[in-house]
Amino acid sequence: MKPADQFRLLELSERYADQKLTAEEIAALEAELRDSAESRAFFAKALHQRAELCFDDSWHAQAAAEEKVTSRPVWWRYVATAAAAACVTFGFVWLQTSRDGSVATLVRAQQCQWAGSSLPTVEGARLKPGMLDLIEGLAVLRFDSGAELVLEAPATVEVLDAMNCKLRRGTLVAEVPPQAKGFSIDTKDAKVIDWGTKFGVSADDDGKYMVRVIEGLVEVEDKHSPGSQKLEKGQGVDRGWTRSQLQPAVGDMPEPSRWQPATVMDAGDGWQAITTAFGRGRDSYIQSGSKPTPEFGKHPFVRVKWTTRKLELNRKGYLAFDLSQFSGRQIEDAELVLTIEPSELGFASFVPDSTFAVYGVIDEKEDTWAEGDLSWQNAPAHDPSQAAFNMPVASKVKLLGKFEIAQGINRGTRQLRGKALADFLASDTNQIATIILCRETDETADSGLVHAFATKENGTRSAPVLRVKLK
Amino acid sequence: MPEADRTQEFLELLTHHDRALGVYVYSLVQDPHDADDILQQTKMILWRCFDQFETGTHFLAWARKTAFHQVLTYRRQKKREAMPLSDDILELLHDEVAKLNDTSDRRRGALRSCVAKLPVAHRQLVALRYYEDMEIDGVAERIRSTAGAVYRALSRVRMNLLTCVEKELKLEGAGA
Repeated sequence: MKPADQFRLLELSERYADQKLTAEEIAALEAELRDSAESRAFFAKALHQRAELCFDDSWHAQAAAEEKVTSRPVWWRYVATAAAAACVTFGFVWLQTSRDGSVATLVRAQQCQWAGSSLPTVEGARLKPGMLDLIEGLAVLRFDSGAELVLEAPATVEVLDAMNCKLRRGTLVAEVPPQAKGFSIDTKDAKVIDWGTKFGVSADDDGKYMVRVIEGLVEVEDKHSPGSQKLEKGQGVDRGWTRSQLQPAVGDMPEPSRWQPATVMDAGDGWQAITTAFGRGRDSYIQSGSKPTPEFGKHPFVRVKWTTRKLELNRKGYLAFDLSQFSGRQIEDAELVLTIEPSELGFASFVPDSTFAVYGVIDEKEDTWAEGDLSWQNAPAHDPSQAAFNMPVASKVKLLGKFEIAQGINRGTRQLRGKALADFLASDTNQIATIILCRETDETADSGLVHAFATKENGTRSAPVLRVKLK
Repeated sequence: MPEADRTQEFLELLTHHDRALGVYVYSLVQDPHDADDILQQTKMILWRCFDQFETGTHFLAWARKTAFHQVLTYRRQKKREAMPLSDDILELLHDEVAKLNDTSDRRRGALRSCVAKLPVAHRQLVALRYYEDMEIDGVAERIRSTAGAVYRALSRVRMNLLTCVEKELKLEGAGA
């Protein structure tokens, strides 16, 4: 048989499989198969091999594994089959091997909002290869290999197959059981291969990425450097991720700032609003440790965190509002509005639903703090030697209220309104009110999320707003 | 033979030949959903009729014959447009496929090592088409090519695989 005829039959077999043959082509093919034993044998061979490639995916698992690490076959499909076959008592359940192409299940979608994902986003949905774009919340994917991913919004992930996915941007935490060893997460500039472990990955479109191993062993291949790096428990690599989070470009943002509320707004009905951008207003935060942190005042967010695991990573937010606009008027009601800033520092998976406490500083002498000078050593109503890192000095403050942020939520606003806040503002005599923001919820593992709220330096989200109702 | 032993025997035989039977049905039925339905149906019938199977005879041949009967039934019932080849042509193909299917285990090993030997781009093409079950148009879009070019490229890769598998089987037969 001539090679040209073999090619022709191979192509016919593919188009036949796609049901793309015309009636004439079918008739001609039938005639050929009936008359020529050679053609028949070859066509059967083509169909049989096609069936092997379609029905049995072991070649792919192996090929995929060999692309990562040589001579490491991944037999998870056979592990699964063997396990299923062992369950003789389950009768015929195992006969129903589904083959619809799905490779993972969306097992949990907690307070999730999705953008234009190409995959179903309801809890329990079976996922074929495709794209998931999570805007808000936490979502858990379980791959058929056993690997489990917690996506932390905002995150875009491409499901490739049961052993591979691609993190386009955002953060996820992966837990990979022994049978899914070799599970890999691709990012623009790196490939992370798991050796049976738990780890977190963050990545962005521009290539920066961060990997942190919580348990076990992970292999990271940077696409711009040869070889790979093995990381053990507690270790990590950071290629530009944290730096971009810690030192946001403030003054030299290429895009013009978006609309910001005017510094004083008349909201009608006796309500007026100011932000920390008005007058002597300020916003910054402090972090446990001895280093002075003058740059915090310029950040487009205040960071807030409580952890008993890494003592040097505790943070508290400080806000000052200039009340001179309201002097001489009686404050009847008040509301503090904070805008949550998506924080990509730390993993939301390790911080449960969190409670935040808002305190007002009573001692007016403490209102003079400066953004460029505020530190863990000199902050108002703060004692660096105090054991409870997430509390102000109780005698110097008044609790104004608390609010909650559910796990995985990184957008939206939080309001605090009530008599405690109104009374605190009404009792002011120096036209400055200092407010401290503390998280009361500890992380469950280190590297937990650091919450953030937009400040007046933020180009896209609203600065802290104080709304007051005047009599 | 006690009922439990008979069940055990059936499950062992079916497990042993499960993959070969699947490949057989996939050879004759191109739509994977139809193929899965037929497989399912076939396995039920095999179990129901297991009394008629004589221990020690060719289980896979018996299973294939049952499956082939199901293929014809399926085609007659509803799926004629999805299975355009006539019954007699299907039967001719059945004979040919059955021969290949009997050496299924060896072919599988050979195919696996042949896929591993493919250049990366070819392997990706194979993965997109057969592992991810992508339509030709989808593959063409993914690799920024045309449907015609993808068919041609696939045929080349498939030819490569067919030749490679035959070579491997020959080497194996020669005791290498």
